[in-house]
Amino acid sequence: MPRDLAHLSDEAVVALVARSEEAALGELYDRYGAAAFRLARRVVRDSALAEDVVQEAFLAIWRGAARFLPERARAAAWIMTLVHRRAVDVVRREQRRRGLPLEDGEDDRVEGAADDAVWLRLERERVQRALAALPDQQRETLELAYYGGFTQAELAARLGRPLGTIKSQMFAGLTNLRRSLEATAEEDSWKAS
Amino acid sequence: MEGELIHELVSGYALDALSVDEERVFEAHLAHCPRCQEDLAALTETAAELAFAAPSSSVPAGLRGRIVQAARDDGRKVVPLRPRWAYPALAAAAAAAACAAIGLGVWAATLHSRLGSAQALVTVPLRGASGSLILSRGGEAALVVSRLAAPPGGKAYEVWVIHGATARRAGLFSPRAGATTVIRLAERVSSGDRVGITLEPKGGSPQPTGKPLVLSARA
Repeated sequence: MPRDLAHLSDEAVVALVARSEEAALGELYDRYGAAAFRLARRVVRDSALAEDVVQEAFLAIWRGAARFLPERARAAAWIMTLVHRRAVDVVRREQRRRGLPLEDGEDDRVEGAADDAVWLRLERERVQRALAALPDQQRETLELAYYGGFTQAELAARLGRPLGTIKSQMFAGLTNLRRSLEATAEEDSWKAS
Repeated sequence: MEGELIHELVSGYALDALSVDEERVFEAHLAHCPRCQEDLAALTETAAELAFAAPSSSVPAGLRGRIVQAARDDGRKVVPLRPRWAYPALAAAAAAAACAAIGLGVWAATLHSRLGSAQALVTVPLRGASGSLILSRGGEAALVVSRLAAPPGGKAYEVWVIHGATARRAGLFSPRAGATTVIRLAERVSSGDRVGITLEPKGGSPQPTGKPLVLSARA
């Protein structure tokens, strides 16, 4: 009996992946594959390497889905964490890539590529907006760590700031980002008025 | 490394920005620090949101097929994952006083004027929640909502595309209370359809069991 996967929650799809249903893995890829690839490409700065990262991460999802517990995290966060961890491992291994500037390649500037889903466009704008509202040094620290794959110690050396300052900025930046992403509409309206 | 300093490592850990040594130190600490377990659960979710701000680029067409094939070839070897998911996540960290005035609710409420023709998207107003239904020309759809309460235990919100007297299931979601959430619709929306949200059992229902809490205008 064919299953109507599109109507299931992410967490229910992961539960089917845990039962070795290939179609469920495909469904998960249809939902998060593009976001996973873009994240990997942003970190490793190379499409072929990014493909490897995404393939490895989805294999880890396939093998590890039974250990995913929805009451602990959202499936989307679990997937992106797996992708990010692998991308960072690759970029740290490929030291030469680290020196490349963080600026996006030319084709990155094409907003709304043909295969860009509406919800992904909206998610991108939502998070970019929250990032843009952070104090500059907090945003810089978060972006270099998350997209650049730099450790806190590497950032201290690169930015010429004490390690303790980097740690505090990262903590404050991530905490502030969380607050702004979770800010309720009421709060926002109140602040806007 | 004790006291406050070690707690601060939680953000570096969530962002994969610790050295290998620090990671070990933090994981050892994490195993018996409920405060860090709680913070890590929350901050890992936030770090993962950063994934969605990565720039757009075309995705290789063959990747999906290679992944499914690799899974097929893989059989069912169980390989241990990194230990970071092995800790019990407690309730989400209590919200501290909000200090960053970002205005995501305002963002959601003003999508209409800000997206418009530039991105070839159409916005349709909602009743019952702050936000919009966003449509591409091809009928692909997403909802942006805020001011929804977190669903009660065992329940989730289900999205429906309503065409005349029929309702097609278009997705399940559980937002954090009041937060601005983007929901991908599994069904296309045609001209004249409405999109509604009902409260359903966690696994969803084949048909809506009540009146929509949120209803869009006609697309």
